[in-house]
Amino acid sequence: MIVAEGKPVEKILEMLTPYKKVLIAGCRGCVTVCLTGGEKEVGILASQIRMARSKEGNPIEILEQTEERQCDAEYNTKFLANVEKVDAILSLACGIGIQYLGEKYPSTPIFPGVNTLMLGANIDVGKWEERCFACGDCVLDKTGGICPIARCSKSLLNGPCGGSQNGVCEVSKDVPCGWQLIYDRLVALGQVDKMKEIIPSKNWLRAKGPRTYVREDLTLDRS
Amino acid sequence: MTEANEKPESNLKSGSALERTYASGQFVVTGEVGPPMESSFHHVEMYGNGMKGRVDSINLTDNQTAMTRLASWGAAVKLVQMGLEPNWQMTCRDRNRLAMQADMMAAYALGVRNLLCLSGDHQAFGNHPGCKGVYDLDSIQLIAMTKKLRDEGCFECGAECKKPPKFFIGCAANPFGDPFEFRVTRLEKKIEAGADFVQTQCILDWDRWEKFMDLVVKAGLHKRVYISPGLMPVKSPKMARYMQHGVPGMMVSDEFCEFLEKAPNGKIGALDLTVDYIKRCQKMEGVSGVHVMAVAWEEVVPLVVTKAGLLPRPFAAFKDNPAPISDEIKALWKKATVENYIPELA
Amino acid sequence: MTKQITNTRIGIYLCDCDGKVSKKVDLNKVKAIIQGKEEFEYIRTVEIACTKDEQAQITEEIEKYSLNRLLVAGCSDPFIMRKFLQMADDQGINRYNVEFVDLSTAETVEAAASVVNIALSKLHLRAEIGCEELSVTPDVLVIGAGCEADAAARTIAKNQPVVQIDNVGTRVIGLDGFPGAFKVRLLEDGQTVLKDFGAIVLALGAVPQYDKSKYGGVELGADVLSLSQFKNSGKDYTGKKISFALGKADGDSLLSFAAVLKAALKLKEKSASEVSILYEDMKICADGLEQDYELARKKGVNFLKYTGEFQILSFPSGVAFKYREPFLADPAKIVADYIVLAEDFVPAAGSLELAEIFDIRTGPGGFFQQDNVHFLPIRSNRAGIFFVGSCHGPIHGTDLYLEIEAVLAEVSVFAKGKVSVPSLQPKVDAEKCAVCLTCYRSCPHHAIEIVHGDEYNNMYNSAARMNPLACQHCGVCAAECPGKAIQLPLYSDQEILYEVKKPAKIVAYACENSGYLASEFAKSLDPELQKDLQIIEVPCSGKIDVIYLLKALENGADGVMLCVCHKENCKFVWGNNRAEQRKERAQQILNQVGLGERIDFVRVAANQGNQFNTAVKAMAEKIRQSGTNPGKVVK
Repeated sequence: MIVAEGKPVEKILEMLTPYKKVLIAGCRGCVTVCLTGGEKEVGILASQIRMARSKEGNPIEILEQTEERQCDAEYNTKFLANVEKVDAILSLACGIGIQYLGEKYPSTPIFPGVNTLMLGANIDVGKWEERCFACGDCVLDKTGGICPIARCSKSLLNGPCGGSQNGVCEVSKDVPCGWQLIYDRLVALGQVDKMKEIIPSKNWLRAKGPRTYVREDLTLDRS
Repeated sequence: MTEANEKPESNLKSGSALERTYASGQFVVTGEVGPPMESSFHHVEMYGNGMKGRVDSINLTDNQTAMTRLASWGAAVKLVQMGLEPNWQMTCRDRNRLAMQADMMAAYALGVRNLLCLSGDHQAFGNHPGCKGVYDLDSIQLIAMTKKLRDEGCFECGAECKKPPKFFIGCAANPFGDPFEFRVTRLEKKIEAGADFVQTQCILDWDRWEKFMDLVVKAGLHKRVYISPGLMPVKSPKMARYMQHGVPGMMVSDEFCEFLEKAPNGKIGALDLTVDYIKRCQKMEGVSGVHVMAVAWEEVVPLVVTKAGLLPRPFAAFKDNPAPISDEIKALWKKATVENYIPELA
Repeated sequence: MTKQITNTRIGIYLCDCDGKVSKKVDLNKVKAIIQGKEEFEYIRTVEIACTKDEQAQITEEIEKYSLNRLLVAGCSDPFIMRKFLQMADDQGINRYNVEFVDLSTAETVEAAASVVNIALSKLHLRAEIGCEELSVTPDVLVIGAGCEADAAARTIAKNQPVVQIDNVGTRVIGLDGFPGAFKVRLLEDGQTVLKDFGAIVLALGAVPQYDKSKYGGVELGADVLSLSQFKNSGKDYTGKKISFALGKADGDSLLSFAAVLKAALKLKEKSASEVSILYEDMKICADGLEQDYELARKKGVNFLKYTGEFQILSFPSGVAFKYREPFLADPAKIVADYIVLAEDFVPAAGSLELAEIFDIRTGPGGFFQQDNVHFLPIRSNRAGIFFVGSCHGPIHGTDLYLEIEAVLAEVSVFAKGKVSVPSLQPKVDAEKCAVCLTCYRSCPHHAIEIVHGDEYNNMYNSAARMNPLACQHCGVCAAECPGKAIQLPLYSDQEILYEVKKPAKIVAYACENSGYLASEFAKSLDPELQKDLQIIEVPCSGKIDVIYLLKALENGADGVMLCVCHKENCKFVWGNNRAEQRKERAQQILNQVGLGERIDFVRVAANQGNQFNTAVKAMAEKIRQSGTNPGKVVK
């Protein structure tokens, strides 16, 4: 899922300085699961901002609303009543939701309350790790099911580099060497010979957008 | 020095002195200079002159440890202008394949003949940690691309290059990296991709190096690629111990540290140890030369190669009249208390 | 965002406690305030509500006005509260719909009206709490071979069906389900078998292990035996001299003492040999051990105290202990034919795997059961899973029969095949549930499952659900839920946040097992100190949400306290740890916007009234230093 972290509140307060009435929009999707932008965090942030502004002598009124997702237009219509009452929206959805919500209400300034970080797995309560880079050309079949683009710091396709030591990446001892993981997995699968194959250079066009995906066989003709 | 339109000797790929020396079976010695962090060739000239006629070719590092420095290609061209032979280094971190091929054509046209293809230290280590690490290709794909240009006259995309650069292709190997059992296979992969010669990370743990070469010879790789281990004179025993414990991934043996600790003059000890390692390498099966990488101590290369009896060089320019040692270098020797190591040079 | 429950017909009784309340507060004025603003069915002031006549009248009024919720304001005497609850039961009013308010400390009419108002709102906001009838399996699984497991199985089998497995031949490989309906996967003769059980009893015992490093490297041999070797040898020791050594290896184990005393007595009975027991400290604090000791002395067993190290010496003719007697100057030596050494006890093989499969916490030494007094003697962190005997620590091996009785009392709840339990577990609003698994992972009791069905109105047709028999109502899940989908009955967000709408200067969220009780004790020591203090009870400090701390401050409190149980003493395993993390986060939130140090985290036990007062004083001092809360939001 998409993992996001809350932006530092100083930055958020800076964004909201000129506004007196704001809607904090939460999302019940990925950002709830990664404990950053669900109804609970909306409430906590709203309380913090109200208190901060009260202290400054520049009080702010904050409305709170959380809906299923912000990446579907139909769900974004549910915010209409509150949007009409406010001067600005602070969205805690991922970058997709923030933009999509903004597209729905183009005459109300919209601000990001989170930094969207990565496509990650929920390892345990409070811990998430990146697993996928959305490079558009998956090579997991060649690497024992472990992604070299996302999990190698240099995204090498023919790793490891010389900096791999004791299963740890040269960049940080907290980062496992992605290619050590791949090697170990291939050994466990009895497929270590795959390491001998030279994987050719990548088509990075697939990895960078703006990208679109259309299923011609499923698009709806409403005429 | 061959021009782009000259045919090198039929069995040589690039015609460089380095290639010729390796091909002749004689023991190769290369040096290394780290370009400065400024727009000046002063240090390149100084150290280059020190190594004139004393080594087969000289490495120019490429934004080493991701610290931005005068470009390796620039320093390489300067050496060519000085009549010396550079080993141009290119990492995958800073360029995409368009820039890589563009730079190759220019460098070759300007006389550069040896190219080492490296992954590059991650940008997090350097002075611009937030910059984008390009990594469009990895080192193996870079080797393959360089070989494709040279042997097929084609760009990476397959289009024809009418006057392709023909480099003698080098790569790195790390006998101290993990997974250890995979290191030899990785070297083989680089040979498959097209590597002609190998320079390893500096050897500070002789036993581990021997184990590695054992496996390399067993796999017959020494017959398919020329291997030069990196050797680094380590200025002080304290530095050796620091590298042993304080630098992740560095393998330094107690034997290495103890030799330096017992030496009456630490710096002389460092030079002696390097010379001793050179001698050991000359006797080792599968080793075709040495690469003396006196990092931040380039001035001692002439001392080491002279003491190790490696002169004269067989094919290097100025082999018969190596340059006299400049006052500046002599002053550096004095500062390091090694001025009497080779009295004739002082 | 308050959600009112419809159909509440509330009756309010303002009791004067025989004139005590009206000394400070005129109840008629209180009644007037409430009548002016609030919604209720019936209100009356009474002189003494607990007399028989009054109770009869109240009963009539309940009938007459069809009251279904009661608010009784007056004293806080538990005896009288029980009377009212009994009346509620009799009148068919759910006892969770009865709120008591203490007016004894109210100083003014406004203050009294305020507390009554809060209780009234809680009654309006409180969801109906019903009772669930559940079918359960009476069968009990006893895991373990050996006399402890056998004894447990034998005793329980008199009451309900028991299956005993040794976890070696037949092994547990998986567990699903909840108390009353556990589904155990067993590996039996290479086949996987699924069996249903209501409860599980672990009686794996502890395994003796000789560690020569505890005895200076002495190897066991012909005349130096370990305690288990000695017990199993079956030899005839007639006329022999036997010396036992305790204290080096057995740690806190009473098992070794019990075993050695029994062996010594047996030896004396059978073969009148010379028996000595070397000990460092006498450890006989379990049932029957003191008697055994006395008897052994009577029978002539030598009890020899040593201090520090001893040596074991071997001769052709026998063996000897050389040791320091604490009162003699010279070292002492005792010669024997056989020396018997006590062993360490370690958890039985397979214990760790079982703990993982069952998701139960282990404690010191890897034995089952954490070192937390709330679990003693036989409970695990999961309802329906129990421990007996030495498998939860060698110190417990001597109380086996007491433990078996305790387990029997617990499991016999399932004997009839049906259980009735009030529906107090948290409820999940499927529309808000993101099925993120946070509650599932945070639950200390493995009481949550993820269920599927069209009735769960969200994109997954799925939601978390709390099992009524497994849930311990700590509320940790409700506080962790990022979607605010979980509400704990009696302690919903609405009910709790309503209490801090107009907070006192200091708000203390207090765990009802520790902080809250301490605050009551503290009040009796120094009632003045709690003048500016508002105490809000929670079932566990793990229920204290970050938003509770912030809202109290936002609404005007100057400081907030969390009053929690001591370390490793949380009744719900890690509730107090979660509370500490929330306190850290909340204070960080205040620091980020320059609101000062306003949150105190106080560990206090129920009987530490004085420490509670010290903490309140510390909080007041902190507030003095930080100044009035500048973040108060004026509406």
